[in-house]
Parts: sequence; C-alpha cells; structure tokens
Amino acid sequence: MDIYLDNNRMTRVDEQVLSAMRPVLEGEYGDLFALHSAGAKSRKVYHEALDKVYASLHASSDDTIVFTSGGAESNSMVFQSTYLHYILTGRKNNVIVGERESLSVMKAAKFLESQGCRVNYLPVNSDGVVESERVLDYITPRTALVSVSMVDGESGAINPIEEIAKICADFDVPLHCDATHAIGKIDIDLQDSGIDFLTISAETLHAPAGTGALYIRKGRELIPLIHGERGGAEILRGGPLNLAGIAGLGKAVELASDALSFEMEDVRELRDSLEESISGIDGSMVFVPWAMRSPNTLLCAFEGVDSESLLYELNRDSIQAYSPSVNPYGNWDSKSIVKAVDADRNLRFSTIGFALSRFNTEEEMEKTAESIKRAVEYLRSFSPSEEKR
Amino acid sequence: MSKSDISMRECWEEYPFKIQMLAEKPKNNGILTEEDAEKLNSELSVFDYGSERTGARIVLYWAIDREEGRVTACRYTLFGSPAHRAAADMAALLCRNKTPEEISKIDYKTLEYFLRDRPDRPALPDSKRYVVTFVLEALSVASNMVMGVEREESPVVCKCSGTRLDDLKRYIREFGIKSIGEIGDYTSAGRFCKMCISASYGKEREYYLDEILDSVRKEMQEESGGDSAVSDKPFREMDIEEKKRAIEIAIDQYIRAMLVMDGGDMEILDVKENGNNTDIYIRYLGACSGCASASTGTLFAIEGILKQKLDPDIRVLPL
Repeated sequence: MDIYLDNNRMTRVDEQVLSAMRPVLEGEYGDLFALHSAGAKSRKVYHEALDKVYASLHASSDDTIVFTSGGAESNSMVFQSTYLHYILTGRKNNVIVGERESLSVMKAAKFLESQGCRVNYLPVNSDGVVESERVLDYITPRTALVSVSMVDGESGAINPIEEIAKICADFDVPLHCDATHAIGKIDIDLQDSGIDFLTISAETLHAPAGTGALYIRKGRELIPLIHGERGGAEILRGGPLNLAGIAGLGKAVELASDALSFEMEDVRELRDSLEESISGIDGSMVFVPWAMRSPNTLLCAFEGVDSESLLYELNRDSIQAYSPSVNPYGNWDSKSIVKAVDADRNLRFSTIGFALSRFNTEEEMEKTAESIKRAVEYLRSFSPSEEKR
Repeated sequence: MSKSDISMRECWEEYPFKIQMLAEKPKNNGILTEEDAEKLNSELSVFDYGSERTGARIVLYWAIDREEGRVTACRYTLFGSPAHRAAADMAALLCRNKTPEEISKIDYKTLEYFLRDRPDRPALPDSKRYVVTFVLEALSVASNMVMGVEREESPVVCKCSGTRLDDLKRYIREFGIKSIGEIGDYTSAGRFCKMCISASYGKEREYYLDEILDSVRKEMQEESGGDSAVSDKPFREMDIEEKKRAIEIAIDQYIRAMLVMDGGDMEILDVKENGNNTDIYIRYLGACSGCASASTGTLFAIEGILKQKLDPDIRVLPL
C-alpha cells in the first residue's frame, strides 16, 4: 500500500468533501446568474460554501472573499493589481516579499522587478523563519505591498505574521499572506489580524486542485485578472465558477478548522515519531526547530545522500515524499533552505521532506522510518563522502 | 512552444528499462583497495570528480595492469541521482579492459547508446543529458591524469552546477548547442539561481552564459564558412575528410542501431584510400567485440550496407 507523504503539494480528496461535491457534479448545473430554479440550486450551493469559508476563517461580513482557480491565481491577482494600481502609475515603487515564498509569489515578484519596481527579499533567520524586524529595514511610505507566507510550504516554518502586520499597519502598507499551507495546520483568525489579502488553495486541504479563494479586507481594492466579471460571485473574476470545486473547498475548509485542534495533535504525534527515528540516523539534520514548524511537516537532510536517489529508493518501497532540490524540478527562484539557514552547503542536494496528513497512520510511520534507514544506509554504502566519516 | 514543451515525459516512469535496472541494481559500485588491485597484478588509481555542492560527485577506482596498462577493474562511489548511477555503472563496464587512451575516446554517443533500450529512443529525457556528460567528464579527467596530460584549471561559469568555461565551450561545439535551455540540458548550468545566464539578472559576473554561447556560435559560423553539411559530391570524388564524415553518418543512420540492439557498438579508427578502394578500419565495442559473427555475418552486413549506400569499392577491416 502506498504511503503518501507529499501532502504540502497535493492531498487525497476526503470522502466528505467528495460527498459535498457529488450533487453538483451529478445534477446541479444551473448558471449562478440564471433566474430559473436550476440557477437557484447553484446559488444555494455557492452560498453554503461561502458561509463555511467566512465562518472558518472568522472573516467579517464587511470583508470580501472571492473564489479563484487556486493559490497561484489568488497570488497573481494581488501582485498584478499592485502593479497596475501603484507601480505603473508611479504612486509607489517598492514591494517586499519573503525570500522563501512559493513559486507563484516569486515569479510575480520577479515580474514586478522586470518592470522597474524595487523588490526587497526578506531574509529568514537560522531557524528558517522571517524575522519581523527585518521588514523595518525595507519598508517605506512608498512600499506598495508586503507579501509573506503564513507557513513555508517546504520547511513548514511558521512566520510571525501578527508582528509583520503591526509594522505594515504603522506604515499603512497592505499585507498579503499565502495561507495555502497554514489552513488546517495552524489557527487562523482574520478578525483583527491585520492581514489585507489572504490566499487559500484547495489542493492542500483534501479537496481537488483547481479551486482556491482570495480574502480581501474591507477598504482594499483589487483589479480583476480574468475579465468577464458580472458582479456578485463574479465581482473580481470572469467566467462561470467551478461550483463543484467551490462546494468541495467550502466543506474542506470547514473540516480543516473544525478538527484543527485534535486532528493536528494526532498528526503532530505521528510526525514527531518519524522525526525521532530520523534524528537517530547518523549525519542527519532537521530544518526549522520543532516549536516553529507546522505540525505536519518535516524537512531534513542526510549527509552524503542525494535527494533524488533517496526519493527513488523510498518510491520503490511505495513511500512518496518530496524534495525541494531535485534537478530540474525544484523551485529554484526562492532561496534554498540550506543557504537560507546557513547550513553546510554540501547538504544542498541532500534535502528531503515529509508532509503528513490526517490519513497517515502509526504503522505507516514505522514502515517509513525503517525504509529511510535502509535507503540511507544503502546509498551511503557507495557514497564518496562516506569514506571520510 | 509545441506539444513536446507541454508534455510531462521526463520523469522516472519514462526511463528505459536499462536505466532503471542499472539504477536499482548497480553492479560496479563500491571501492577497490590496494590489495584488490595487487591480486590483479595492477596498480590502484583513484580519481575524484565533482562535488556534493553542485549535486554530483564521483570517485573512480581503477586497477591498471602493470604490463599492458589496461584497466583491469573499475569501481566507483557516487553522490548523484539514479540516472547518474546508471550512467556511472555502464561507464565502469565500458572502461574494463581498455587503456586510458581508449577510455578517453568514449564519447557521448557511445555511452548514451549503451543506456538505450531501443536504438531509436534516447536513453534520457533532454533535460537530463548532463548526467552523461558528467560521467564522461570524470572519465576524461581520470584518463588524462593517467596519461599525464595536464589541463589548465578553467574558471567556473555557473557556481551552482560547477560548470567550467572550457567544458561549456567544448559542449557548445560538440553538441551544436543553440540556446540557454540546451546548455542547461547538457550541463545543468543556469538552472538554479539563474544569475549566470545574463547580465540582466542583476548580478555582476565575469562570464555570462548568453555571451559565451553567442561568441562560440559566431566562431563556429566563421570557421565553417556557413556550410557544415555533408558535401553533395559523389562519394568517389570526395576528399578523405568528406569521406570520413559521410561514412560516419551512414553508420549512424543504418548500422549503429542494429549493433546497439544486441548490446554492441563500433567505432571508426581510420579511413584510408587504397587505389580504387576505400578501406575503413573499425573496432567493435561492447558485446560485438569477441562475438563470433563479428568477422562473418555482422561484418558482411556492415560492408554490404556501406557498399550499397556509398560506394561498391568500400572494404571494412575490423581490428
């Protein structure tokens, strides 16, 4: 049986999410703007999902949440709008982003840079976490946006968003947070959070990929990225919405926030047991201290063991993990964790990550730990660096 | 952009069976000790190439026969991907019973052919070609050291992948590289922080990939006078260099695939004009060398094809 430990990228669809989606896929297909009863059925599905997302995130009804096609679209919408609103018009000239953001944020930042905008990259400290005070080094009244993810999708590092939000509020600079890896992992309360834009994506929440949402605080405005908007549900995005995906996302967000406290405790326990076994392996290193890491993630490195080879060996044992440093498939636009936390540079191509979900079991963790041990031992049996040890 | 640009056929499941097999059950990995070499009446030489920092490092262990100077045993330790492992294992197999001089002549085509399942299907996706060049570079560094050929340390162009200037220039010529993407395919340079690609990325560097590519391509164009294709003269009227090129192309097109299918290969050692005849001296490689049909059926087939495709007065002489 497969042991799936790549849950920070894509997750298995939950049975309850599937149940929420099924009626839409099987029968409720009316256009949201149609006056007939088919339209009414769709509107009911839409409103239910919307209410669930508002409630789960503790968003005020004065704020706006629009559904999108996923995290990348939500992120792009914020950056493109910032560009059109502030940079292009010359009103502001600076954007600040974390140096270890997701690919869509990094690429958007690079785009702004190519358009003549000054982009500052916030460094992370030796724990892999953005230091809030560093925002003060760069922020000015001419800063158009600060974008820092709530949780690092590779390392699981939890960034101090509250403190960053306070600084942004002092300068009246909008703060964007990518919460793709935070929802269902840590507590999120948008009341008085100071966050102006929040990205949500379905694929990490046991719902199908291809749906996401963007939270917009009252008073902040955005320009549509996809035109054809008709107002209402489509106020910021043209084209009929993916209603089945939205029904799934609504259910998934509700499940994630309802079960957060007890479910994540279970996941944390499983993760910790795996972490303990890995720490016992000679020449291993775990990135980001325990207390600063989301409960489902474990990013580590083994000296003298190539990431892709280790993934390959684990895959042969039906264990699916991830690595941020497999050539040529990694996110090379953001700074590598090894460089960011100033670890031994020889570990750069030796990182491997395990992201758990509520579907993992104790037995799976035991099997995974055994497989890792065996694979590391095997690969080190003909590793050049092993001769020095 | 095209369909191939949006396809996802570059991952493990698309690797040929041979690569999967060599990656999963390598036969030549490990080390050789002085005692092992002594048993074979050989001298042990150890060569270290690459670095963990740049994603691949190989240490080659060669036991070299004291009298004949041939590699009697070859092993390696490796930090690298499964594809690296497959290529290194195949290379170790190819090195056996060869002199360092012969090893230095193993080229990209040969090693890559040996990794194929089917002669018409490349062993590795384009984006992983750097795996083969890495292993070949290690072989070349090792054989040069044994032969006492000294190479000047060339400056590093891409710090992330450890690619050096002279290697890059050589690859651009050898493989006819035309774009930055292809440089990445063959060397993995420019794939990571991207700062070495061009000055527009904002970091000051001594060398940029786009500038090197432009200058080498310009040199190549000047040298060839804008025409590098095979001459369209009849074979008999070609000069010896043109003949060599025509034979090389005919072998690639009609013969090599046939040999590789059975785990063998061949190389042209020399082409000589002998009166009316053209003599082609060849050497069999891999499974072909020592095969009973190498001097009968296979030889007649090779000669027959070349006679038919090029000239009836061709003679093929295996050495």
